Amino acid sequence: MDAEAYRKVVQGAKDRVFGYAARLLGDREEARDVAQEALVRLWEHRSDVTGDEAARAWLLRTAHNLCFDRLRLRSARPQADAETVLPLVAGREADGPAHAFDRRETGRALERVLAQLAPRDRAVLLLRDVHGMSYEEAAGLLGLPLGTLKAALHRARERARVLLLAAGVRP
Amino acid sequence: MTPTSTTTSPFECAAARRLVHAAADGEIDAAGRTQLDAHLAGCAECRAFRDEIDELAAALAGLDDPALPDEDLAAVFARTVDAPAASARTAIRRRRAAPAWAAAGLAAAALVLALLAPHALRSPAEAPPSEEELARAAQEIRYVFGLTDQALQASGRAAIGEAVGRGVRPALRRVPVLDSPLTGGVTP
Repeated sequence: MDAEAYRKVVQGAKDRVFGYAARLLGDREEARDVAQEALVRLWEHRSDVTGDEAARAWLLRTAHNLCFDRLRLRSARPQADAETVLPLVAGREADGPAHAFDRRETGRALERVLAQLAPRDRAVLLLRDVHGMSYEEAAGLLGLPLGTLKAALHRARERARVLLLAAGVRP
Repeated sequence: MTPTSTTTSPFECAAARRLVHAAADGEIDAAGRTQLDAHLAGCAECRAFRDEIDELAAALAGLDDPALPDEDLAAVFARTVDAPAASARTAIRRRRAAPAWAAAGLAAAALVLALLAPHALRSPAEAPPSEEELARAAQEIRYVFGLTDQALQASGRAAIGEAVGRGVRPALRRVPVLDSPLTGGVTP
């Protein structure tokens, strides 16, 4: 991967890496550190990574590992924090003001719910439902057997559904 | 969950809900689809479940990623493609201040060394320290280590305390009776 290809991959993947880390950690500032570290490491490992798609997967895996290193150092699960989590949500004004408002409200509720899930369940839900990975890709990244990945995904969805309904929000 | 229809059982609902997830992921085959549709036709609760899971998955898929701040992107390029090769790693921007415990540890180590200077750094040609000087130095050092030790132990940084102890241990060899855990029990 040369410098031009690296810039292109980074430009295309930086927000995805940052968003994944921010939601997984529940801390925007820590996520900035993780995103930068993952992007820098891609450059250092550029000779091992071939192709844009492989580079994007490599970045997400690296960000995931960096996040879990940090989560392991924490004594408690990160709690929903309106100050750090809510700024992640942005409604697209191009969709129209009312729709953008609905999107923002639902998005805020979803961010709160994500922050209440166990880290591994949160990771599964983010990889599959937010980032659109296949079962196989998500299982490979998380190092889980396919059946375990599916069970975790279903559990996470059902927990998220219950939390949303409890918050008075229909998905 | 108890089905509302008398034609379904909890087992059927559990199986149907697994199929709902598979359908939400586009991973359901024709036979599974037929089974699911047949169950949903007779179970209002599973229909509601299906709708909620589908809407949840759609809402999650619609979440936007926040934008990485431009300054962070610039910092990444400054460390990589725009950096001289030799300094790519050492130029890493440190956005956070050093933790308070690290600063406290360094300050304590510096203070201990300052207290030791008249004794530990004395030239061999000079007269050795008197018993009174050594006793006073030991007392001062114990006090500093005690305070630092308490702070580090209280913050779960015992390993850091040991590292600080290792760092200053050579300078403490000439001082009698240092039994703080920070020093690992240095003896004269």
